[in-house]
Amino acid sequence: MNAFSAANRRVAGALGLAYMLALLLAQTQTGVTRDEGYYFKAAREYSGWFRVLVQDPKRAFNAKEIDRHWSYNHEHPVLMKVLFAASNGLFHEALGLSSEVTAMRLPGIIMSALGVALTFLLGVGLCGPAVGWLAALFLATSPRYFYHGQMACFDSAVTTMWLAVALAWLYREGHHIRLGVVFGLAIATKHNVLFFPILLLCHWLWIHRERIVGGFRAGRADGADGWVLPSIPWWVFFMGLIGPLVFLLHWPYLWPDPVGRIGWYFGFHLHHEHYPVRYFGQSLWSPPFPRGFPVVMWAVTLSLPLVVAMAGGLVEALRRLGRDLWWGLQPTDARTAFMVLNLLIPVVLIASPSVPIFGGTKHWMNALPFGCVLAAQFCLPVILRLANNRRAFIAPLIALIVLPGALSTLRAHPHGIGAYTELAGGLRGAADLGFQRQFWGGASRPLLEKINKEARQGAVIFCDRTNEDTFLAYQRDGLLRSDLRFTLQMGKAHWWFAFHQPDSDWVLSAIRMRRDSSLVAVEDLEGVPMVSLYKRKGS
Amino acid sequence: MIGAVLTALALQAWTGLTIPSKSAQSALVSAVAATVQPGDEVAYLPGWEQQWALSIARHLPDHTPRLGRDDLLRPFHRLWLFESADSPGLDFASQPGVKVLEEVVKGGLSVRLYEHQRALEPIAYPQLKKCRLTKERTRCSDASGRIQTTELAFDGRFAWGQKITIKSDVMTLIFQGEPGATLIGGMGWTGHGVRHAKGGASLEWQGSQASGHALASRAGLKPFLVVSNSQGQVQLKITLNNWKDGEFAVSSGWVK
Repeated sequence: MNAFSAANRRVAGALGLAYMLALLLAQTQTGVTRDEGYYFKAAREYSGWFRVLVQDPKRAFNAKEIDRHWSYNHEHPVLMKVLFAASNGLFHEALGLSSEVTAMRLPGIIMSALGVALTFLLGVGLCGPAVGWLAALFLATSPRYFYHGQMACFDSAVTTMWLAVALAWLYREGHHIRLGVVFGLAIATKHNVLFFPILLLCHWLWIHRERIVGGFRAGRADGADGWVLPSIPWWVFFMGLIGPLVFLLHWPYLWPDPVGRIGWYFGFHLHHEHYPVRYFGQSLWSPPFPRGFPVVMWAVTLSLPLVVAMAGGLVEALRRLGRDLWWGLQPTDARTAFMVLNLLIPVVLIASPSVPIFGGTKHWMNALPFGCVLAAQFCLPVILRLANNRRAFIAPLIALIVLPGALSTLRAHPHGIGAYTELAGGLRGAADLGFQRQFWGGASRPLLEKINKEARQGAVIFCDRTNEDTFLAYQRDGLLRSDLRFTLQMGKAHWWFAFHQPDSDWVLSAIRMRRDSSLVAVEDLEGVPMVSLYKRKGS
Repeated sequence: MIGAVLTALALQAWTGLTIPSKSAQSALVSAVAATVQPGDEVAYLPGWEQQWALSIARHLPDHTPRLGRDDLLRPFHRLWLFESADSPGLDFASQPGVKVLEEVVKGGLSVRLYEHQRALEPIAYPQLKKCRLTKERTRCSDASGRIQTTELAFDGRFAWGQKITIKSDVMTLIFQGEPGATLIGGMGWTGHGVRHAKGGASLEWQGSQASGHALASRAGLKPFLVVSNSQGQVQLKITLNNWKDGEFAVSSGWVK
């Protein structure tokens, strides 16, 4: 791996900072999702424990006190939610520098920006600055990464943390403690990273395959008999001990009953419920899901140049690995296998027919930075040939390659969860093909202004997929009038939202069939509806 | 790689140029609003494009639009069909007895007024045993299940017609029209029905002739056309293959 120069670090920092500013600006238009509503509430509840910790430290460690503050939303570890709480406490409550929603989102935004910076460094480490730049810009201009990057959620954060573990592993020489700590923080972000050790095991078996297989062969020339396990590297112990320790220490909810509560946590995610996904005009509600789902979804949501380059980069890498395997060579370059495994393992996991696929592409987004780097490696010879060794031409060529992704990102904003790219025929093409464009109730935000202007005092709003926590967050931030009331009962409402997604087909029908409803606004992208707003006639 | 970049940019330009303008959509609906007669039906394509629905709600508030392609399997007397430039397109003019009376094309958007020359009923009401649905009576039920006139959902596509819920393993519906009239429409699983299906199902149509077939595995309406018998009846028999609680949909009308 190449060492990072001071210039490389400065570029990574600048890229991250620029991306952070772009996300900060963009999120002012992006709606608050259901999960964000839950996490805002969790953050506020957790911050109560820290107040107790300051006032009465002994009481804070009491099991009752822990349960009182940490029981809510205990299906996810709390690193990010604690950061949301800290950011809200500092930037919104103490300094008054930002709204609550922006303050809560800031840690997720920083993590996403860090993801872009780390992707640059991974590219630099493997191949140099040109690959770093292109890979980072491929990631930054992926419409759905840009969307998830704005959220107070865990998906872009865990993408970054997975990447951070990978980098910590690649640069592990003399830094085994750092590797263990980063791994611990990663599993404290989201459970996806629990699969990283499987990746490392696969990689270790690949690297040592000749020695492992050779051990089974009888009559070796050196006279040794039997199978000899290659030595287990030290980093395994650091990751295996420090990682779980950090995970346990970061999450007070686990402390009263670590075994039972960690067991429940694993059990929850092993039997996670399924939410419907619309895919080629069919609603997929329960397993078995199509194996091709993650590959098809990437093909229709990433820019065409990235899809082609990623496929090319993967084929090229597999060709190199296959050549080593065919000729029985000891792998000369362990990094190729490492990159391929990082790209394939998250995708293969989602391709398993029983794994939840809801939410678009976020469940295997942790593979995307590696795909971007492989894509950039594939593009590099083309760029160099076109630039004809003139450095001044490299930057414009890189810009041209990432332009389609940037255009798709721009066109899908602020509903990037429903972004579709060239192979789908864009947003309208994807609607014709019957792809899903909404999941979590965020699309209602642009329509709040109309309700604020036109709703009568105390009007009741049926919000469909926008949940009550989100409704209240909008009210606290002044985005929604405080006299308006939330309801789940359609019959009581004066205004109705209907999201255009599988689990809301019945909502749309039920509202349309009412004789007292009329369609008054549609929030759409290029004519593709995300959410419709209906009003009770005469109210 | 160069090809991928150029193709991507070309597709970006093309998809960007075919986006309909909201104001143009509204202007087109507004332009024909004065000539739309009471009782005329309106529809738009693509069926998912709610801006058409919004413009129709503003300028033609008394005309509830048909809900897209599936809802256009039923016949119509006079239909104003609004279409965006990238509409999948339905050419009713090629159907026997249908004429285009008016056509306006503006900036990639179009509206055509189709008129069916034959007498027809845009929505047919089936009966279950002795209970016949009407415009006023929206539900019928017996031991074999129930039928209900309602909006039907097929995984993001919609139509107006009857939801058929079968509680036993067989249900027979009778459509009463005039002798020699043709029942035209679509039949299939609802989105809910296909999701909860525990097995296959088969259909048997009995009019002047009998025909039977298995249902497709996806939600949505499959077009049909059945000529009534000498009593003016068309019978639909749905059989579940050894399971219960199936949900289906039929959306149809009579052409005399």
